Amino acid sequence: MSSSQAPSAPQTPRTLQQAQVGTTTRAAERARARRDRRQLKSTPARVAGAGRPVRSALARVPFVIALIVVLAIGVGGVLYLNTKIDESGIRAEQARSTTAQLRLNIEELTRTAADLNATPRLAAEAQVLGLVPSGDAAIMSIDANGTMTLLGTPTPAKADPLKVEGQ
Amino acid sequence: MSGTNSAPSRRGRTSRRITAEERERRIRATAPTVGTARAGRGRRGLMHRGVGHRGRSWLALGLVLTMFGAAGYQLVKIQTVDAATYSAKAAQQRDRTITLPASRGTIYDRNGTPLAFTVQGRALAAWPALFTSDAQRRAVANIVGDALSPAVTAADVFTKLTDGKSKYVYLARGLMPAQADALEAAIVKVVDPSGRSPVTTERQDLRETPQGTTTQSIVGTTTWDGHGAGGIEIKYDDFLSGADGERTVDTDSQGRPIPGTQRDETPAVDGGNVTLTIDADLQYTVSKMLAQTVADSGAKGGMAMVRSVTSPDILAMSAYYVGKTPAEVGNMPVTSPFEPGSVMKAVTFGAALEKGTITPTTHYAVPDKILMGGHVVHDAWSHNRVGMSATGILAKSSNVGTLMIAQQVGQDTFAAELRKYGLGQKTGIQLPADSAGIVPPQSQWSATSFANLPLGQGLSVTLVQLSDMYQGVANGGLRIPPSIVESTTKNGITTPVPERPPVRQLTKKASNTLLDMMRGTVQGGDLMHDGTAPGAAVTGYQVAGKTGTAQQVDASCGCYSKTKVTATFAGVVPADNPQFVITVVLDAPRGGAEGGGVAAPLFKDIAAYALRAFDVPLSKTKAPIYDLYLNMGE
Repeated sequence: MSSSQAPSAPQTPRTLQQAQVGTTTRAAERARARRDRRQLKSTPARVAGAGRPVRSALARVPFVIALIVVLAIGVGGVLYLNTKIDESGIRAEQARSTTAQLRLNIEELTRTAADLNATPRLAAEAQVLGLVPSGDAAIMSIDANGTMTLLGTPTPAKADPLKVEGQ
Repeated sequence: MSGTNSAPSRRGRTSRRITAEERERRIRATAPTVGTARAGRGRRGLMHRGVGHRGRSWLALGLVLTMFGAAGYQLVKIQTVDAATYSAKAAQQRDRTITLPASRGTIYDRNGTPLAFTVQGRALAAWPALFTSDAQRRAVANIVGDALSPAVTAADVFTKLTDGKSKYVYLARGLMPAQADALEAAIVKVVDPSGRSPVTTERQDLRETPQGTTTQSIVGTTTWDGHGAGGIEIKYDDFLSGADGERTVDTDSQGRPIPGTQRDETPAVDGGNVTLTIDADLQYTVSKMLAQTVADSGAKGGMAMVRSVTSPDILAMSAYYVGKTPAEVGNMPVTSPFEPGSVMKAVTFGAALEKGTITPTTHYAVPDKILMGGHVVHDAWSHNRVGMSATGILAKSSNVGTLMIAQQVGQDTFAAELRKYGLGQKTGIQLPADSAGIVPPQSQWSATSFANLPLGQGLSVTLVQLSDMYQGVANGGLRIPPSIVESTTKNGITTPVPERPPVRQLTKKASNTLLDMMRGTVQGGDLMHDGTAPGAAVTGYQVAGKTGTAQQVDASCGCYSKTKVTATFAGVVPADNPQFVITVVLDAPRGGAEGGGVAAPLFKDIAAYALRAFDVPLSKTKAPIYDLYLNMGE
């Protein structure tokens, strides 16, 4: 739009300063007026209001403070959460090591129980107490009427019949 | 921009002016005159600075561009070409992958008694080069030696630390965690505690076998790295092992994990548990009794096993050889076939009963010897031609009588029967090196084969096969393939081992009659009534069984030995309510003792224990007395 004007007005000043300082033609005056009008039309009001007085700037202060407060709370919150996460991380680590320790205890106890309950050990303990396997002992059979029948001949069990060790 | 255009007016105006100037510039930029205008401006600027600066500017520009170029090159190189290397390096410095070891599963017996289970253990290891002096090494060797003597001696440890063979040596294995920690703490006090410790502990799990050697052959052992080496441990290795997991953590400069950095966790999958059909108490008792009998009879060794009649379960299985460790003996009832001898006569009698050529009381006039296939077969004792019942021939184990019955049955029927008993075929038991035994097919029989096979010579069977055969007889002719594993458990889900379909080896009627006839074997009394194994009788229970005394092959002459025999006994208790099949073999007992003499008493001891331990009700009636000899001369 203005490009069509440029060749028709060769004396148009190059810069604004030149325009202010230098010669002013009527056409240039008109052009500037047009431009200023255009400018006024196209410039939004809030840009125009950039340079407000201090009073109105002060009116914004609560908002800035609010922002700072929010930021501070945010930073504080992040720090707090971070600390909490680290803390629970440490707790989890501790719990994990406690679990491992307890598991070791369980294994140790299981092992002890299994050892104490093992047949060879029980047999050895029984032998120490003087117990011997009964073998094919005689049997007392009591029927429904309470009558006792003796099967076989009762004989004392042989002491220490299992001599072979280390098998 | 607003700063450069320092207009004297208020801010609002300035801003408007800037905008105006901007627009003007844009207008000029599109106008044809712009070129000259800009060139003129540029020239003027340079003229202000002077022509002498011009070269320097270009130099500076070149320098800056070179630097940017170099930086850009490095940037591209590091970010793309070497990216993988650097990220790996960074990860190496920061990440640590922690292995989460899977626990090996437990092997239980049928009652839930653990036979083999894993607990965490530690190995104590050292970097010999990190010690500062031999005095330190000596001190450490003494600490380890004192704590672990006699398994580990101070001298051994000192040698390991000084011989320079390896950068990393194991000082002791198989330590409990607490023990290892205490040792490490004691050692750190001796060496310089500020530097890197020259000793460390490593996790190496321990396989505990509280039942000791009595179940070792069946359960098997594990190597130090926790894998199976024999028995169930190797057969079920993959199942028991599980899969290790891992977790990545960031570490600090000391190599300690930073809390909260755990990631990429793959949990360890623990191994499954295996429950055997073995009864640990019975297994222990059978093992001890067997070892006792072997020692008393002067045999080289022996085997014994107990299996259930009504299920595939093997309850106890033991082998013992004088002077051999359980690892050397292994599972001989599965792996080592032997010539069974007269216990195989049951096949002939079963076939004859099924064919209807005999009844328990069929009268035979049995001579002392018989000629078969050009080969004279004698009875084990010399006698005149005597009158015997079929039961008597079985109970007194007459070779001649058995061959007379076998001839009536015929070779073809006998050969067919033999196959039905599962002989010469693997039993499919869940243990390594399951042997099929040797049964010559009928096409390969020689002239004397039919004189040998009915007597249990010229073929070999494993003890498991022999037990299965008798289980079939006791179970009305239905043979249940054996199993030593009851169930497997993974993730809390127990899966019973599928039962294989039973095989009919004999009709129910023939089988029951055969079992009844075998009660004659354990009869005592006068000459007319005593069987070969009165010593196998158990108080309060009916017993059916069969003795066997097989001549062993003498390697020096390639003939049957006159003095070395394999004494066997296979029996069923209680005969009127079959629960257990118990088989016993003694290898070369002193003086060629017979099955009835050495094997039967062991059978009786095992049976007496098993019947009581499993609370088997007493037999309701006593076994009938069979007439074995019908007359003493014909």
